[in-house]
Amino acid sequence: MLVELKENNLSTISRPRNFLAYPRLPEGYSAPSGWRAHGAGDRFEAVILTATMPDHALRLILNNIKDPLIPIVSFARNESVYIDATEEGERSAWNKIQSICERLEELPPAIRHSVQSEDILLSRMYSRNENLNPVYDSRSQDFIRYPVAGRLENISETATTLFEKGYLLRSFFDRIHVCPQCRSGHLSVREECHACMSANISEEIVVHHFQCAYEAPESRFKTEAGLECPKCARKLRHIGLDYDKPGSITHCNDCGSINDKPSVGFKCINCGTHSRPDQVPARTWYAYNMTAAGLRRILEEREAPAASPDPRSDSFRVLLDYAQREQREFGSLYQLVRVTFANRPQLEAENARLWEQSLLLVIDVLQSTLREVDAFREEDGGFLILMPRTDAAGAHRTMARLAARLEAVLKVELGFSHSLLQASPTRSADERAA
Amino acid sequence: MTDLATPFVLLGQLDWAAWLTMFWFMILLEIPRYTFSGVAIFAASFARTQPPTAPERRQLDQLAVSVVIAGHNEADAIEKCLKSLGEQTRRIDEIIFIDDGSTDGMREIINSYRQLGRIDIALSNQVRSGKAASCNLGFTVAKGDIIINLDADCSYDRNAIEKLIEPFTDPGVGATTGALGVRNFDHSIVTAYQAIEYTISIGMGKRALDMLDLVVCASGAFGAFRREALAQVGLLDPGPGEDFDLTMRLRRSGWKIRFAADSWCFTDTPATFAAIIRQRRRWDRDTLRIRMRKFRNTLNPGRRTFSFIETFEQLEWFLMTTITTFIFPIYITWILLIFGVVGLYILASVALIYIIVDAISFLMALSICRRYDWRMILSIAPYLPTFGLYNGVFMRCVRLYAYYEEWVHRASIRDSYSPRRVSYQAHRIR
Ligand SMILES: [Zn+2]
Ligand SMILES: [Zn+2]
Ligand SMILES: [Zn+2]
Repeated sequence: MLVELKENNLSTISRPRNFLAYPRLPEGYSAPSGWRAHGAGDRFEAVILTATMPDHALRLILNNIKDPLIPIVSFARNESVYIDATEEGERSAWNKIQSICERLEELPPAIRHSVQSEDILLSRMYSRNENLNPVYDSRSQDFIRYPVAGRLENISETATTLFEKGYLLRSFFDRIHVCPQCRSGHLSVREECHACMSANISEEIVVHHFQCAYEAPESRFKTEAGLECPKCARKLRHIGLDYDKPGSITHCNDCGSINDKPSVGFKCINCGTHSRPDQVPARTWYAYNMTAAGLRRILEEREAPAASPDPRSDSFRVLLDYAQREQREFGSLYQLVRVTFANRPQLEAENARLWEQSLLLVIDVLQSTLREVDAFREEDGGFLILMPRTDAAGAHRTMARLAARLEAVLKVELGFSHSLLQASPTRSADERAA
Repeated sequence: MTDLATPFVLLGQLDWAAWLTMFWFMILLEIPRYTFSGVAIFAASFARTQPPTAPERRQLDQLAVSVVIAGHNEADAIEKCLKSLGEQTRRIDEIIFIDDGSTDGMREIINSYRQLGRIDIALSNQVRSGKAASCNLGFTVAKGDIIINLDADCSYDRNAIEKLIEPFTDPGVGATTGALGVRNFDHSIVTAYQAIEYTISIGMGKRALDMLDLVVCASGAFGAFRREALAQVGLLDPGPGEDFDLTMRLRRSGWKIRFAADSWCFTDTPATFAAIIRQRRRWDRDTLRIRMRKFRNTLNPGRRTFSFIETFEQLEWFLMTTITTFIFPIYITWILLIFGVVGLYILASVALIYIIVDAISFLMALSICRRYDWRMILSIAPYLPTFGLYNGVFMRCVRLYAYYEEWVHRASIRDSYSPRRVSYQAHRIR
């Protein structure tokens, strides 16, 4: 997580906050300073459960709490998945409430009260100061749960959108097979008969008698006295000398089928559907971290342009290294051009959304103007453009063309200007690119 | 032709005693055999097998047929083999594949065919057990009334299985074997010779033997067995030569072995002289070992299960194959010693007679089988004049060497045909 946990100090609270205790507070309970139990009609900023309660009752209460970000803690043991802290002692519960509330207050009102699931998810991550980490949970239909997301639904979809926008980074967590019928992750994997799919199978060792070449399942050799060959009636005394066990067969106790290996099948515990392995789709689950762009997104109340999570920035670096090596070894020049937009701060201040769209257009124009071999990346509100095998004059010509096209395409005045970063000495360009 | 004509001029001036002195080998050992085959074939052509009657057909239809194919590293051959099984006119009730310790992915391949439903049972020895044991495992799990043993690297005529099981309408028939053809006849001179050899031996020899109830080998590459017959005599014994051995035991238990002449299987034969020598040395060693060591007492008239036909069969083999092989070099030496340069003429006329006899046999075989197309006939016919050299001289030398190996060194039990630990143990007690 990018933001360090701030040391909580309960005494720094300036105005009192309301909290809802359910079902009731113990007689004579004194809340920490700055907190008071809420009266009827008051707004409240935290929920404290004081008793263990069944899941359905809890859900009833939570349904009445419209705010998806509000901290919910429990003094008693509560299994519910929606609770921020349980059974950790009252002091730590209060600390938790305190820190969540403080961080919620840092959010601009538009984000704090947003009903968009993307905002809610980012806000919950920020306020709980946690990454979106999945955990296994057999109570969940998917087998996976993101505790920090609380009651939010379709978390994967939301997180994927945020990832695509560059607000979250993701890393692989697990791939879980799901029932093709009902999408449940509750699948029983079993070894079964290939013919009738019964799990009532048994494996038997195959015995090979060297002297007479008889080879059959072990049961045909078994007698009270030990192993005896049914073909030649000799006793099998010594493995490796008289006989060996070259393999095994699988026998179905239901339909009598015989095979080399048992088949693998999936049975859905939820709906009973039976599937073969190649029919079962797998769902990939990720853990997500917030990026700096994500942080800006919720703290600055306006959408920051998506900082591309794309591998282009890395590939830019690789291409630059390559161009430098080419120049060193073969003397073919490359140009590094910085493009800036003088009017950017002003445009951005006036209409952030318009600026964002303009920026996307700029990227389109860049892509159509530059050659395949060229590369660019966003930097300091402008762009850094790499043009391999180009001399300075060529770079200026391209920039002039770029400026003309931008003027033609964009409605706003960007204040376009460009400057060649001296390709040599290589070192400084390298540092700038890095 | 002057060179070739000289012997005839010479021959014309001889009386029968002189003929015998010069040609005793042919007169005593070869002519009887060819005459024997010719007469048998002649008889056979009158007694052509009738197609099965309606009740017989119903009876055949009720038989469940299991196909057992065991192989070691035959992954590449399976597709072709399954294709030709898929085309069969006769219903196949189950196809059982046994992978015998393959390292070429055969186990995975047969399992994937099993998943596709093209194979009913796919089993595997993780440790190689040898052909006989793998087939035995297949025979043990097979449920059919008729168990057909095939090779993965053979392919079959559409009606091969239908024809192969027809003789089982006779309840006394314990096993059948079909006709074997050479698939790669145009590959090299060696395969062309073998194509001629197979044509003659299948078309003439096997039919003649069948007429006389003397079919000796229900081949492991193409044999069908009646379930009760197998149960009665036990399954295969350790190889090599296990199919021949099993057929011999079936015969001795009174089961008839039939040759299904219209049931065709095609296989690739060895393509180089080195390969054919290796193969025939192995076959000849096996035959000798099994005949001499295991069935010696067939020749003993005092034995309880003595049967004239069995003894005759053994004697026929002994005289026509073994003795001929041993006497052949003696004959050549003798001719050259006695007659000097004239001996060469004698041998040349012997060769000429061979050519004529071979040509006649070949034509007869072709007209009897009617299975070969003109392309094949034209392709192998040019090798006919030198076939005598291949079959009469080259093969005899190989056989002689093989007998020497087996007799003196008992080489067959050290064959790489079975894994060493198995063959050592299998033959320890004999
Ligand atoms: Zn045994
Ligand atoms: Zn089953
Ligand atoms: Zn389901």
